Amino acid sequence: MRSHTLILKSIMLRKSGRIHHDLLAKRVEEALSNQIQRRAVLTATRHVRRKSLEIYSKFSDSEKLLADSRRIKRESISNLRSNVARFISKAESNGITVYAARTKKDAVDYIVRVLTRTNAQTVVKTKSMTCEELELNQHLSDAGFTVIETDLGERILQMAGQKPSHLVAPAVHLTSSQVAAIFSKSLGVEVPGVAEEITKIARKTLRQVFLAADVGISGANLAIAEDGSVLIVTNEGNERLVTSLPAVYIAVIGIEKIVSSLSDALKLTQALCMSATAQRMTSYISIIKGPNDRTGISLPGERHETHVVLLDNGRSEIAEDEFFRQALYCLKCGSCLNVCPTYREVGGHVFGSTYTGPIGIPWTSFTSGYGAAAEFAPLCVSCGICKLACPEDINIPILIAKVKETIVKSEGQLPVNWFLSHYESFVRLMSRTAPISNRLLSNSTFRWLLEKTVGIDRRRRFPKFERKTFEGWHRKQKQRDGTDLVYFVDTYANLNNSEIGKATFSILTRCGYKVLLPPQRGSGMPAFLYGELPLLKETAEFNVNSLLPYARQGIPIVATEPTAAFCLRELYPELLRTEDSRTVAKNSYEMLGFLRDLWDKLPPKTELSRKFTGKVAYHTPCHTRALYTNFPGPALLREAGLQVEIPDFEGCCGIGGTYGYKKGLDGFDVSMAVGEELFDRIRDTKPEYVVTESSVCKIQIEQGLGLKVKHPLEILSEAFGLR
Amino acid sequence: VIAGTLTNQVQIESALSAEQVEVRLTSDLKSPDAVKRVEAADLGITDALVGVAETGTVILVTERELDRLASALPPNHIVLLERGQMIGSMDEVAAFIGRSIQESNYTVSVITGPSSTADIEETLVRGVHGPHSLYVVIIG
Repeated sequence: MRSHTLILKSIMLRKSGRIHHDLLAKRVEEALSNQIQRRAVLTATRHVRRKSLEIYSKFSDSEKLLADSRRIKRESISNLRSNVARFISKAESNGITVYAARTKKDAVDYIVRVLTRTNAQTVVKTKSMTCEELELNQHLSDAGFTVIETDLGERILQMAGQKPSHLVAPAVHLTSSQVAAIFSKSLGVEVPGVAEEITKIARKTLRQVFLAADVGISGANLAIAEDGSVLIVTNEGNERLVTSLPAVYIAVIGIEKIVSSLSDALKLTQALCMSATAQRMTSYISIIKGPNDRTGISLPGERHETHVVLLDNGRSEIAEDEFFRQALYCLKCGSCLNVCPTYREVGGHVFGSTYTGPIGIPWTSFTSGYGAAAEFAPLCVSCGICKLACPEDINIPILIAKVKETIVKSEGQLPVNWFLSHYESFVRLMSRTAPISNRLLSNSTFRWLLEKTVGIDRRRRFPKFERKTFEGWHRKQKQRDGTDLVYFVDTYANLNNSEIGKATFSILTRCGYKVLLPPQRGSGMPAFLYGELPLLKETAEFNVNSLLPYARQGIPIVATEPTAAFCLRELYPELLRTEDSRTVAKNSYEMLGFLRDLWDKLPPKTELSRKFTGKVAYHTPCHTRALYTNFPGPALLREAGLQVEIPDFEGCCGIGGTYGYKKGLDGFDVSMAVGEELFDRIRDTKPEYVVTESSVCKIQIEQGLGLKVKHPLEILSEAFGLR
Repeated sequence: VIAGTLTNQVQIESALSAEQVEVRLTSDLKSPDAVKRVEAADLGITDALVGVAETGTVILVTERELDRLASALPPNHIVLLERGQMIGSMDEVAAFIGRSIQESNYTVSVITGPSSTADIEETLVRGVHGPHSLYVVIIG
């Protein structure tokens, strides 16, 4: 893309894809102004995530358990077809009537037929995402049946006429006083806003419903092929009554839930409990094999009929897709929701349809269509934290990018997304025209124009652009011979802040390296965010081809921008799936981690501590989190004598690369809302300034907090007396 | 209400009756109001097939729903567990119970605590639809 045509083209681009975005913006606006809900969701998701990490570390075998669960899920999905067949044959021999439903309609029709044949009136239900997928309650109520939810959270929502906003905690967005108001209104009595009192009333009223119900319908967490049984996990124990009291019981199960053996099922169950509710085990796990009145004598309280509805609805097709298959590994534990920066601000009624949160985007796309997914897919900022939190290690960000790509193909691209996908061309243009471009970008009339025409928020501060690039500076350096090393500089250290490039250069040459700068483009990450995958692939291929000859010789490739290192090491090979991209990945390093290994080659550390006093706060960017479990930055600065504080925060600063550049509710407003938590946690540490290795986090924190943000390499090169 | 075979062996029924407690055995309940009688009980006593040391779990295996309901409907639940029926971890469960549940449509209830919820503002509340208290008595 030639830079000078860039702005013009994005202005002229038809206003496609705008409908979904306008609707979304409206819903985002409502959610962001709902302070009570924001606090409720943020508190609850943080709480569960924290507890879940505690429980992982409390049990010595949890690493192995999670590894086993990943293996089991992968095996189950590869053997999906045979598992389904085995389950059906075994369940039928147990006396279960199995119905394999190809579509949602097939499943609903079958359930209606069973209810009609057995003259049922009242149905009691457990919480089930698969039933939500069928919109079963609506269909059954349309057909004249009374359906009562028995899970407390689901019952609250049913009374309120709302949909679940979280995969595990459906009423996470409500406070106890709101729940009390819902109960009071529905029951016509005054209910106090205390969880214990509300629960007592729910127990009492629902107990009568249970005793009178004709049919019980549940979902299932797993189904076991070897003995044709259904496994259900709860804490409340409602499922134990749903499956035992009514004479007819129907389990609705997605086919991806079938595993081979009881042993596998119990392993997955533990992984699920630890991730979903931060419990080693929930209170109840029930394994149900079939009707138990086969003696022929109809005893009271015995199930006469047991049905299993196995739902396909796109699953078997996804299982054949080499890329999308991994979506079926999902345990519905909700971990990705609990860490998703934008989900935590807007909640699941905006960030989701039936399936909520990050994994909700691919799941919605294949269970309800791409149109439904398009309604909330733009809320993903590609921070990648969901992948890190996923116990099944599903590459959720890449699935989302693929969904976005399909949406763009069918509905067109938003001009601002198209523009930002070509961000590097824009940066090059700004660099070439600096310092005029800098003046222009701080001119309010120009910014107003840029907002109106392209859609870049006028409040977002741009970094300064430099006419003298790092590339240009590097060309003039006369390097002594040394060990060859390639620097993948990316746009920021090249065109915005060449000091970082120079600091890197000085440290590396001091360690005996000769720094090479082969032809390269920016990482291409902005294109990923907006589903412009062909553009990203082109960039990835260019960079891989250019770096390959060096990688083949074992010459290290070092990147200072964590996003660039992430692209080289993780994203390119995942996207291109070529041997070349894997070779480059193997030889690519993030600079701080690389430096940690070089530490002994650097000047004596005793010199360092005298230069720095005071306290700094260290923000670890999302893509650094993706590369390491033990982050190198803070340790290096401590070695250099700095007092480093780590804010109590695991996640995204909110800028999401270029997402926070977009105007208003399309990006900037959400981005700043997400950032608030980090800004507060940084303030808690009362630092002199902030340190982070990411250029975009720097932009966000400087704007949101008003504190100076430095790059660790600037500090380190100074500490070593190299500048 | 009392269910299970181990409960017979330790003669709980006669001991409780001596204390003027109204006792019902699920095996005796055959009238249409059987479920209501289990529901009316203040306490359910059942046995467990096996206990899991690492997680403090008891595993009940029932064929008749009334036996399962004895652990699900009353507000209190006591589980009797033989000391010899103890395994170390969940990993051993499948091998231990796998064979014993093959012959019939047994329902396996893996229980690791009283009925509870955190659906309202993450506040832990006990006794939602099942017992609010659970006691395990280890015998032998």
